[in-house]
Amino acid sequence: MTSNQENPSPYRSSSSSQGPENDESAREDRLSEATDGRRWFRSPTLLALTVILGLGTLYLILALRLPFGSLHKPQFGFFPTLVGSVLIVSSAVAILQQLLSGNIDSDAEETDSEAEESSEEPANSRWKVTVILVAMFVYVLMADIMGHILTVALVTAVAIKVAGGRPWWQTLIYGLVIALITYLVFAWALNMPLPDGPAESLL
Amino acid sequence: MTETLGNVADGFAFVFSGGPLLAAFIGVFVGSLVGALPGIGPIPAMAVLLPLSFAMDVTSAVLMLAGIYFGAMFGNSTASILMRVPGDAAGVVTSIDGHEMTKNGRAGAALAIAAIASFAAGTFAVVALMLAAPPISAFAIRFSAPEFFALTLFAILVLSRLSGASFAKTMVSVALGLALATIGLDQLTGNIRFTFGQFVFAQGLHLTAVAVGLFGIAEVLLLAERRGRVPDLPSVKLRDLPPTKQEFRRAVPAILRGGPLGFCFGLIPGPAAVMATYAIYSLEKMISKHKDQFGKGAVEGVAGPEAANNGASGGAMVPVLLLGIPFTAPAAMLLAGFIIHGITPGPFLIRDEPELFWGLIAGLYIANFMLLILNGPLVTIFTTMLRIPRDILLAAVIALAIVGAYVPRNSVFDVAVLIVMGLLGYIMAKLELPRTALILAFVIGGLMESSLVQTLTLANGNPAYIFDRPIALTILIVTVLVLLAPGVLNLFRRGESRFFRTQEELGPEGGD
Repeated sequence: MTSNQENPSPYRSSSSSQGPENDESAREDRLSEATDGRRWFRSPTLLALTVILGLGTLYLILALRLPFGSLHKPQFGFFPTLVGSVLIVSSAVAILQQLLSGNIDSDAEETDSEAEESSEEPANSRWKVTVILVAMFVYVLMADIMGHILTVALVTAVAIKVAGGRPWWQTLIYGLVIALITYLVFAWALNMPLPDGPAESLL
Repeated sequence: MTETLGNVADGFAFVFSGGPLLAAFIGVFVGSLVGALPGIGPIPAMAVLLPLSFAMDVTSAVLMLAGIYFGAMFGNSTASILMRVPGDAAGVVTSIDGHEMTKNGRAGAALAIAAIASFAAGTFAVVALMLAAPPISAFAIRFSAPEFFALTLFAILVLSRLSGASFAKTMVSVALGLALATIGLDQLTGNIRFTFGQFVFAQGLHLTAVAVGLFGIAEVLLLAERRGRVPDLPSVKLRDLPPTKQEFRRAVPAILRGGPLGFCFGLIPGPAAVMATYAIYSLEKMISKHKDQFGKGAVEGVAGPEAANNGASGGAMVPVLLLGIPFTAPAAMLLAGFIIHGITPGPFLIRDEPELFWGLIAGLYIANFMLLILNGPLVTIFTTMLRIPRDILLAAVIALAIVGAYVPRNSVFDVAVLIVMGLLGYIMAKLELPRTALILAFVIGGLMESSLVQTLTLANGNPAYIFDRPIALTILIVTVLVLLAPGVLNLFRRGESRFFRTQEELGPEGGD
């Protein structure tokens, strides 16, 4: 975490950090206080919960446009209004709890070390997640044109490359095999409709 | 009683007709595999294999899904015992004493005891389900809107108290699930909601896309972030399997207590199997004459939890089959198996679909036998199956997930939903928002809304209406009590997290 350790906190008067050489907890306190102003950006949890709160508000606004009816005769906007309210209240409470829990600032660090601990892998591998999701989106855009086999081969090859780091020729072969097997099992053997394309018409 | 036996006989005849038998085998095989694979639990496996069930009749479909659940409860002992790497949370407790037994050279015996305990408790659970089902159904037939609303509320709120995450966070998950469930056609009035004017939203989000995304894809993303291979399992020889007479004698009472205790936990909303394993471990330790051996390879510490988690998986079937309301996430996936075949389980299931119900019971008996063989004598062959390279496994899950999302409605839009849900599931896992609460709420959201609206309409503004319905009132009072009694439950939860910490921090010498 990047921070200026000399900088005393303008925001919080924490009781535990009064003595300057008050061992590690005090140091951590100061560390965290320095990042106070950027809490929302430092803590992915807060950021995500705030997004959820925003979505909840949007949902409630849409729900309030539907006919509510009354407690005696609820209409189809009744339940969504309740759900939207619960979503807003619960995410607001979760945000508050996060803010009050004290260790918000080390939140990002926490997730990092957690990831490291369980996997011997630094958390900057988040790009892998993005690449896999983007690759999957190719299916949404291209499956109706390129068909199941080619798109799935592409998507799975990218996933194998990202997750395992095999040479490209291997990943392509594996991808193609997986695509073919799923096509043969589901489209041929089980007669389920999968998108057709040039590769399918060859079979 | 004789009627029940006759019905089960019919069920066996139906299962042996072929299809259901194969489905059960696929289920238990995959279940054992994912149960043993660290990082992948039964829920993603059930989600990812949902598409396969489109090609089956409904009995086979549900049997396959139930087989995965039971199989995972069997399989999670394998890696727990051999490597101290639990396949999922329900195997954590087993790993404490199970791995100590391995270090004492009793790996084979531990595996055998685990398999026997799982089998005995699984069989007990099916018998209990079989005997309890007709009276419970007869009772639940009287239920109408107020009772169902009370039950859905009970399921969601009790789950929120027991899920281990903070109450606020669980309620965020629940509300997200309910909100997603309201997209599209309203079941009661036929009005369309939250479609943003887009036709594709009108039919609502498909359960398969949501479930597979939330669990299958999210799990893939979490796995892709990590490096390292699945560690090799030490091999176990067949002749090492039989436990000694003394081990067996100590295991039997633990099994006999674990099965019924687990079954009861299965009836409570929440992570039933996990809670059951902690509860039985504490109990066994409390009453054991060999207290000092717990954490150092006590055979009861393997037999009890393994019996309990299988008992729980049986108990969890009761509310979903007989009330139509899942109390646990795997049960929600079972319900998904019914729903995609157009059948809603509930009090009328036995009357309206006897072949389905009794076929399922018979199938579960057979599934237990299959599991005993797979995880007993065949465990050596089976552990080699675990050496599938992880990147290939990931890719296969992605391909299956895409097929599963696309097939039900032939729509790439559902694949887009799958991707969004995958991202949501990944984020939720990072934030420790329980995904199980979301899927549960998503699955029962429709019933919750319709029963609430009907109840209010019937009551017509008169609160006395609910007081005339003793069953609904009782359920509501119990729900309130659970909500107001967090102290007791916190105590329980703290005990649970102490186990986790003991396991992580104290290392091999720990174990409380």
